[in-house]
Amino acid sequence: MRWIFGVLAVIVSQTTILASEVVVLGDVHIRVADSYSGTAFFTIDSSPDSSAWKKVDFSIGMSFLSMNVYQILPGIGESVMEVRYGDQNESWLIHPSQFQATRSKRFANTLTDAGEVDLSPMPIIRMLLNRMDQLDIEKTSESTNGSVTLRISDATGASAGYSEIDVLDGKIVEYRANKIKDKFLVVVEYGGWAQLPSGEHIPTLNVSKIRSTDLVGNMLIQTVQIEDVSENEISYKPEKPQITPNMTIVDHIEGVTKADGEVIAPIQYGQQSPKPQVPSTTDSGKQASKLFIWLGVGFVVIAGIVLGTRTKAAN
Amino acid sequence: MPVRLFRNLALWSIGGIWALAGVSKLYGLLSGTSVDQQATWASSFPNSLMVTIAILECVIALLIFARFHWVPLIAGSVLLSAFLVALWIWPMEYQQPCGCFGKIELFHTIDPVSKIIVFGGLNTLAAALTWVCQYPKGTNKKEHPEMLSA
Repeated sequence: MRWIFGVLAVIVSQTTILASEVVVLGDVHIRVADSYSGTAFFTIDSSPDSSAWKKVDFSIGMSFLSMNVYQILPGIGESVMEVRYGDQNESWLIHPSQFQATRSKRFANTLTDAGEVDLSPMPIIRMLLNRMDQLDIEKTSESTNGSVTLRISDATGASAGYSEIDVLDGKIVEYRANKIKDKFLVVVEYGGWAQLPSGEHIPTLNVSKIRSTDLVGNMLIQTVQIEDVSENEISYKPEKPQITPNMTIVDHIEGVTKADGEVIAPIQYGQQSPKPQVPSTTDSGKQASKLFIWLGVGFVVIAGIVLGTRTKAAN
Repeated sequence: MPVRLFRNLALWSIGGIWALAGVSKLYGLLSGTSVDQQATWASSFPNSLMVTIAILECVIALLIFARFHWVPLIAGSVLLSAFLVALWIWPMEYQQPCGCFGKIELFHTIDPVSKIIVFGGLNTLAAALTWVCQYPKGTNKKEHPEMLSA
């Protein structure tokens, strides 16, 4: 049985109970802790060394997020990869080792930031609470164990595609997004549900699966273990990251680039704006990579032939 | 003569690649003026380590252009092996650029392991050609016993 929830948006209610948020979609209730902090450890499942390679100190809430991302270097320590911060006013992305910072409206526009969905279903709840009038939501299946699958799509037609969530006992247990040819590119399974002192539950053992857009190759599967979780006070808000004077700031809100606190130049989009990084998983990249491998093997074979013949022409 | 020419071509190619990698890394580390780009795999390591590697790459290039052959070829092989080991221990993030050439987007769509394989192959070929030039057929003392008494 399929129920169209889009037209029922008016009956959607948002209720704040102590430190939790409740989304009511017809007979489906979804709850999540309102604001909490913790540390996430990322482990690549296919890696021969199963130890965590990335650590994220995070603090997330309905109206903000803060993530300090570190690469774990076994035997050496930790290296800061990036710092992310977002609220309704501004978002910051900082690469301390490159002395670069970017200020934008990313969180205000998207209600999340890169990687947050691996930590928590909080971005989905944010979207449901804040953008309900722009969403079409329909229940596509209901299993015997009580699990319900909801399909979420853009009612405005501004973006194609849709995402799906599985809800069981008021918890989002799986999130799927970016479907191409019957395959989702992003799948996050939320597990290891732990109860906080307030009685709310949060996931502490997630599995993140990412597939390349060409659908070739295996999915990148990472286990996300969340530790040292603590609930935040209702009034809690993380501090904005520190910007050191020697950083170059690309300020997309003001439309300028700054260095040493001074405006250098306006951002000229299309000319000086950041070039999109072409991932190594593009078709041309893969073909070039294969060509490089064959070229390398060819060099070694020629080296073997040269050594084998020890040509007199050397003189 | 052709062998010497091919050897020189291989060595100059390797020298050019090391010089480009070293100088572009140093420039990227010291300038810090570009607009925001995605954090590279290389940038996740401490700056002191990256500066050391960039300097090593420059030294290898200089030695090659100064016509020292074996030391830079062996050093280059060791450095490439170290990169492979590092990629295995600390794998790159999904779709993360490697930063092998600093901020220069040279070969940036190519998998770093493939780059290491082709540079390693070129290194091996240069070593083979250098060996043949240094010890051409006819200098093997086993093949010419009279040289033993010389």
